[in-house]
Amino acid sequence: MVQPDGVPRAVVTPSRLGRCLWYARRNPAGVVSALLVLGVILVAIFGDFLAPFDPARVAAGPRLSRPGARYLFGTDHLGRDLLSRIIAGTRVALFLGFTSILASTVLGTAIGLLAGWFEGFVDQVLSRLVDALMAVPALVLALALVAMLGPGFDKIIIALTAFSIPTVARTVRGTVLAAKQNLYIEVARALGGTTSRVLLRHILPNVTAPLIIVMTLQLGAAILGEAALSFLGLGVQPPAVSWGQMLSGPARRMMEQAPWLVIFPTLAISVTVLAINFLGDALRDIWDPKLRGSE
Amino acid sequence: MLQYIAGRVLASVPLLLLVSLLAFSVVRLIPGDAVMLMVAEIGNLSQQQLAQIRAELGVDRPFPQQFLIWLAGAAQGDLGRSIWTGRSVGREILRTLPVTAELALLSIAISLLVAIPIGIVSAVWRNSPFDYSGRLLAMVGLSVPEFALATVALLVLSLHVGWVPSLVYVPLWEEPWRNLGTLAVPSLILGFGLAAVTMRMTRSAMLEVLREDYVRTARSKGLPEIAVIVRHALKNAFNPIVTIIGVQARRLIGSTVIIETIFALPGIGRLTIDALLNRDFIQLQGCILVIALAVVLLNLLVDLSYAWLDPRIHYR
Repeated sequence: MVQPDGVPRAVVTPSRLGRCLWYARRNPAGVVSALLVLGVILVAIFGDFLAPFDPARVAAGPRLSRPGARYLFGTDHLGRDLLSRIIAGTRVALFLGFTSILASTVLGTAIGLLAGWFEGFVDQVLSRLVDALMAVPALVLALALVAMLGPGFDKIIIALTAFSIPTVARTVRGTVLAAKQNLYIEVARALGGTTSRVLLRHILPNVTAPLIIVMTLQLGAAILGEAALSFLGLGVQPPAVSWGQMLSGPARRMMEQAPWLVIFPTLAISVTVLAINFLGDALRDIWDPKLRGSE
Repeated sequence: MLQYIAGRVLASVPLLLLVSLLAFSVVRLIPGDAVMLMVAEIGNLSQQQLAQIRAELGVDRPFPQQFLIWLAGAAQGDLGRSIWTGRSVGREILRTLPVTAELALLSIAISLLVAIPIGIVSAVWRNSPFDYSGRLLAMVGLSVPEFALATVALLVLSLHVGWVPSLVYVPLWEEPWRNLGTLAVPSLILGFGLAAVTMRMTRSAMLEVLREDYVRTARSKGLPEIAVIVRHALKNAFNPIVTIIGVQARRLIGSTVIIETIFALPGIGRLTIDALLNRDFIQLQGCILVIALAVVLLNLLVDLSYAWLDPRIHYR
């Protein structure tokens, strides 16, 4: 790689750690959000040890108790500890978010790779399918899928996967189309590389950075999507707990006497998604050369 | 230009066919069929009655045949009848569509009024405290779900102002003020979410344009800064801003589903949710089709508006 001024980039590139530190200093919001996301992940993993009460236990305390020393976030109309329920909801939100993002990444990448690489007929068919998915609002599609397939975590994952596939597929396709123009791809093919080898060894690495950015932002969207499904009563069903579900039904009817019922779940969703979105933005700053240096 | 429009409209025909197939298949993922669901609701029916209901609904035919019959009807504006209420699906959609359209237009208007000025000032005063707070606000708008925002807004309004959403909806042409009063809070909430994305787009588009040579020329020939920004920069930054409005149409219509449910507005979003919860598959496939149609149409309008906004683009 040679930069426009003729200096070989290898000479000016500092060590990997040095580069990370440089980005970290330039983007404190990115560091804070990364730490927050890590914190949320730890809460999801070690929730059982952190939760002061069993989230499903009715009458763990008095009903509608205000937030205080014993019940940090208060209790709900059945006397369940709100903090423990928020912690349980963290695991549900992240589990559904991560699994659906993983599934949509695998499927979306496959679609995008094929469409971008083969162009022509394959591209036409796959791209029109993605367009069709794009025409239906993601939330409506997810709602319809969940309503038709019935309740259950696996069904929610299917719905949220359909929610993200089009975005992933489009991003990958665009990147592949651009990466294909590189000389080294031509070389790899001229040297007799099979299609699958060229795709996996030479094209796929180009896709990684944009994919990680899209995955991060879509993770936020998937968590919001799950919350919306559960809010409307079509997502996570009791006894499982979800932040969206905590905001619906009884909580809304009693929010004037007990505002903490809606305030804490709202904060949980918002802070988590805010941190994820800030992280996605920071990653874009680092990886997207078009935007680098423009801020 | 006319040729381009005709081409674009023709090009969306296969897309619309795929979309209708999607709408039609999604509602058929239901385990068993709708008739079994009706049986569960109504109670015991004889085999003969079951067969009769299936024949009336057409679900005894093979899938491709069902699809073609529905498609032929849809092309003539007949989307069938609701399996529960027996009402015409098309008429129900026509009744609810204006409510959603008004809500969507109001939210887009609010979002533009908020987002474009903030985006411009953010770009011009880059890295100022104003810029940082504007960007933080946009991030909050992206991350707080509408239903949570609506819930908190209802809480604050009812506790401090004593305002509760009206349960009766009056059309705009009957009582305009009351109608706008009903739609104000929901469209502010939707507008805030939209403004977040538009503001980010305005800011980055302006940053890009402000670096251009002609902006430097305009400044150096002594034009007042406001003229440089509005007449030279903003005009050229408009394309990406319009694009993002098209992209957001999809998200906006998705959000109206939730907002209409929370604020008890009789729009198509609410109709869709009711159809979903009742598993009224004929109503549901009609709603999904019309919603997708609206998204495709809005994006088409956005595409066409490029030429109008940017004289450099000629469609040939």
